[in-house]
Amino acid sequence: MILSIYHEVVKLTSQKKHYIMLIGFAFLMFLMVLVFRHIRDDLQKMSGEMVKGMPFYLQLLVPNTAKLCDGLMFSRFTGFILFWVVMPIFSFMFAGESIASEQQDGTLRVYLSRGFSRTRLVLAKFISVFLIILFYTMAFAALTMLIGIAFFGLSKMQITLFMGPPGEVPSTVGLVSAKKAIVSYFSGALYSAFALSSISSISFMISVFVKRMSVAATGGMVFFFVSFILQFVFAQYAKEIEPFLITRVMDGYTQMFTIEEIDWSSIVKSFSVMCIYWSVCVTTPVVVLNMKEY
Amino acid sequence: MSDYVLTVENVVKSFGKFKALDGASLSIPKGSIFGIIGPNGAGKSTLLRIVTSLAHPDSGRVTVNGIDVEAYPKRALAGTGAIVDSPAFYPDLSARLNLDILSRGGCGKRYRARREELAEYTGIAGWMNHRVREFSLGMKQRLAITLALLPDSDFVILDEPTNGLDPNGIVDIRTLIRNLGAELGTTVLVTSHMLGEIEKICSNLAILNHGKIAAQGPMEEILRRSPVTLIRTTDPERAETLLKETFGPRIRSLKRKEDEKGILRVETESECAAELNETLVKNGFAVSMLENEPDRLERIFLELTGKESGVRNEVQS
Repeated sequence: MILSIYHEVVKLTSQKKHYIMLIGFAFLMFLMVLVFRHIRDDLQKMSGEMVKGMPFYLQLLVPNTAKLCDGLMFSRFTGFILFWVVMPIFSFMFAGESIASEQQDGTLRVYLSRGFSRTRLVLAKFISVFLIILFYTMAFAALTMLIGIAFFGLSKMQITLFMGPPGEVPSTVGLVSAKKAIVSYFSGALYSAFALSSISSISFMISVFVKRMSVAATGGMVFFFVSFILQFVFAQYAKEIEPFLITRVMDGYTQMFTIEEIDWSSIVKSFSVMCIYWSVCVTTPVVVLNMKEY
Repeated sequence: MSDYVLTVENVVKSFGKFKALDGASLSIPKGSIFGIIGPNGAGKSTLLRIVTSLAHPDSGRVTVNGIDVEAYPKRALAGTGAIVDSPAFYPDLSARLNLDILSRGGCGKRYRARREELAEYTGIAGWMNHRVREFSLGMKQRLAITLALLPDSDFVILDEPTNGLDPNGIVDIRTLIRNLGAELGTTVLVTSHMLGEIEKICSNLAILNHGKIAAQGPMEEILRRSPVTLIRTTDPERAETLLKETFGPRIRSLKRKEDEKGILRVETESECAAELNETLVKNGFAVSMLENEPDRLERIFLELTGKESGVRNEVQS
């Protein structure tokens, strides 16, 4: 099994889309540095007039926020875009590639003509996709933080208030040590690797039915964005299915990035949803591949 | 232990109403180079897919080295390397990595030594670190043969190995396949549309038509079926009458060649060129040419398969 996983990882890492990923990441960093610089400058310009009418703790906090706009804050801020938008797209591409492209170019047939276990092949492919996602998630999280620190430095204290519910003033705010914030940040990144793995499993499942990576990746993306719309736009009409939506698993790492106190019951629920998706999206390819004729 | 590497017993495989294989049975002796020929749609690829566990038969049984492929695919195919359809590789990986991944050869010393030895044997040793994207079709075929021999294959299945190659490439691959049997003792199953190639390479042959085995056996035996002798002699009209009278029912057909009326085309039940010559000479005919008709396999193939399916145009020799 270890040899199979190693071979799958070698195959995945040989693809040219890694260069696209790195270029995309570099471009995102460039834009985010520009944006974050503007945000910090705007906060520095804020006068006492602007905070009038705000809750007391915000009147104290906001004028000092510019000082807290450091490299770690930059990485937490960037993380939302990186892990909510960019990484899911890359994850769909990797997961969609794994079976579909090999069906298309005929290498799967060469491999299966040896009578090797098809179940083991599916498991090895799925685990290798997860390992690649895990590697990129942690590497991008670390790189983002290093770039942030290089451009904006690192404060000793970190603000726990990052984003509140849309249109509402956050009800909790606080300061924690940079060390604790860094631990929370990387925990969030680790969590998001699992979340991305379950999200991309949709493309993985589709890839066994089709012969084109683009179809499998697009299918996963459509499922993800429909789920996103249902959860955030039409939530009131989709209460019954809301707990099972794939985007629901992203809630967990949002908590970690905001470095609030972790709601463990929510994390457990998110992992339960992930398990459902993992089970369905790995079992289906196992069954289909074992039945399929080439 | 059985003397046969592969046995196929009454295999039936249908796709909807179309029967791709209709009770096909064949046996491949150990150490032979076995060719399967047949018109398009005869069931060659389906048979290879079933043998390599890529497809499942509706009924019948396939065993490799005595082990049922359907019940124990991994065990049965442990010593089998197959390239079904065109050779497919990961283009961005080196030849070496392709061999490791697709053969699942592991990383032991013994495997690595055999891999390098086979690469040397098939003539790709200098290309092992190159990406497959850079390979020509001929090189890919060599790589495919190397792959089929790894990690420890004693039975190799090659589907149309000379397809798309230039004449030099065809000669190289033909020599390589012949040597596999002669030098490595490997049993080779090869399919091709190029009947001339099959005739030159194979020691045994099966002709597949409409999902059934129309003929099978050693190549020489198959080629001896209804041999045709071409004779150029003085007064062919009289010679024709003489031969008909002398040989009677042993001659299946006797006519003058359409494009060259001075030549007699004699189809007999069995090989009897020497007797024909003797009869003519004894009766005062001067025989200036006596030879077996070329493209014997093509003729037999068309007799067994092509006449009704109009496959004649597709056959290359």
